Amino acid sequence: MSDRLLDVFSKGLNLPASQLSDETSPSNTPTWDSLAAMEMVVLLEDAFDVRLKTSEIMKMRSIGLARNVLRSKGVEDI
Amino acid sequence: MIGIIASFTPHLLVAPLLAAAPAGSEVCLADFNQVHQSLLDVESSFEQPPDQLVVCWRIEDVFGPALVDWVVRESDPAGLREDVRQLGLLVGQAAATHAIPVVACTPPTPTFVWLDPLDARSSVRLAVLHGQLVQAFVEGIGQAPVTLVDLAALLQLHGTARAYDSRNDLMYHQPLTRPFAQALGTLLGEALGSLGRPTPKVLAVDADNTLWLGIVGEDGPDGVVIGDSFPGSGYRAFQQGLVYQAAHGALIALVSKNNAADIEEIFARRGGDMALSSEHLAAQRVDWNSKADNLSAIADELGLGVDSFVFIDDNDVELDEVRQRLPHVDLVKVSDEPEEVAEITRRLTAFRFARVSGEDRVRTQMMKGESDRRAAAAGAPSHADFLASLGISVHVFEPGPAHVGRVTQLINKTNQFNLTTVRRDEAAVAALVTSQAHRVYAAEVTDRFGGYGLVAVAVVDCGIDAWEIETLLMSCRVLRRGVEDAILQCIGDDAVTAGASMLRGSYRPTSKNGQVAAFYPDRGFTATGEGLYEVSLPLSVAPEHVAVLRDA
Repeated sequence: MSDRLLDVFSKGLNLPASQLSDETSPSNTPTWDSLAAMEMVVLLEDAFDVRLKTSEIMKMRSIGLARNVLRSKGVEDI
Repeated sequence: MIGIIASFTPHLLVAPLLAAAPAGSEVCLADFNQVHQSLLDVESSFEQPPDQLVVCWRIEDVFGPALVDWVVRESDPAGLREDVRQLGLLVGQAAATHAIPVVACTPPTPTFVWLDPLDARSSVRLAVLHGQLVQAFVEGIGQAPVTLVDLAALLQLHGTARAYDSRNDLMYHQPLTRPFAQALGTLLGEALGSLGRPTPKVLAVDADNTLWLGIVGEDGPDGVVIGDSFPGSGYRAFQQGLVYQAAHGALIALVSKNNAADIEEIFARRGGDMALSSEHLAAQRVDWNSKADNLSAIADELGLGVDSFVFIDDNDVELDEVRQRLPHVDLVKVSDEPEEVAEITRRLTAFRFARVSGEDRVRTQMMKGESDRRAAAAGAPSHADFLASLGISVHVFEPGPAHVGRVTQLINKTNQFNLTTVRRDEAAVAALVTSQAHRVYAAEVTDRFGGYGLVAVAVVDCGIDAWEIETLLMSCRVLRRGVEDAILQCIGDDAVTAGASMLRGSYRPTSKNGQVAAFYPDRGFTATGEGLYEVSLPLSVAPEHVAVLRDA
């Protein structure tokens, strides 16, 4: 089953979705640098049609935490 | 290789730029907001020397403090105008000395996250200043082979509210929304694509149902529709566009299948209704010959190739004949909707990038050779002159408890100008600050554009005979200003005072710190092992243009 969130991170981090999980974070992912973070914000906002506040972006320190933030903003099925 | 110099993070521009640029183009990016330094030192600002350059900048990024001062305190803008003119000069100089095409953007009207754009106390003054600064920038570029892209106009077209994202500006120095970055990147790519192509020189226009509505042979000179009221107003607008193009160097040629006397009569009798007059016509063929033959004849008469022609006609058969026989002529089909006719000249986008002709002048410049290049470099400020003009002041001090937070932050986030990339937490930094065996150095930098705050850190192990630099790092914001040499000089001086005879340093490569690989050898250190260097004291590296302040 494909995970829409992992697909976005796969694009932003330039890694296959199979290598990503909710534990994936900047500290265990060399390609997750500040530029990738910026691009992923834009990608996430486009993919899930949300507008993220800076405090929400700062909370997204792993894919799992990003999932929590998006769910809290009413994004379903992720 | 297209080199991009931008005063903000330009990554969102790359994909649309490459999509619109000639196939096979590649892009490399200079460090952001290093516009002056990158222009002065194009070759070392990129991983490989670019053969095309794009310059994108905002006044608020490059001249922020001076601009804020002008907005808040209404200070004299003369200095700011001169600084912007100098920046234009640097852009022109980069194009002339490297003999590469340069595409430079006009700066957009400044915006600030804290300033209501409708606050008339400042918005009116800002509009006036913006005009003056754009003018100063263009004056600075002068006759250099630079293609201008009117970013300011593009922003106006899209609207600031839709073009800017202040959150991304605050967080990432990336002020553009994705849709606007898409539009700007595309425009830049098109500008790069236009460099090899000749600018259209001749607009060849049909007459009936093109310059006016109706057919003069049937409706008579008084029966064709042209003038101030609809639908003639659409055709009159098209004529006005042709008059504008003629005034800006295009040649207008009339190519019509008609009796010459009918056409003459329209120009003679309907002058009050028309914008175009026979004086605007550089050539005309009003006869019953084939239009392809007539276009070729006009090309011969004007001494131009047909590849610089745009042929504008409402008749598909005429257009098709020209398409087949003269495939290099650009074709424009005239619609039967007056509002579309009105916009024909506006949609001739090949003229967008024609104001300063890049390619021709670049070629001339290349042929003129090395002596001219040297002369051009002599006439414009050198990197050393530029640094001297900055009035750089570096305050080197030993940080106290109040600085531990900022020092720790720099130690953990600096990737590029970082010799060893040793990360330390706040407790470790606090311990080092009070350690007898170590000395921590911090540097604050100011120049005439303003202050940069605490931007460099060194950690030194102070042995009896030899001092060893364990950490040396600096924020990218002050690259290539000599700050690193000022701090190194202070370390060397202190080591001499303490009785040491040797200074050691090391370089540990990472994927991001390649720019400092040669830092120690460049300053007279000799290699003693893998990434290990030493130099006998005293050391002398402090650059003349930097004023170094120490604690009393």
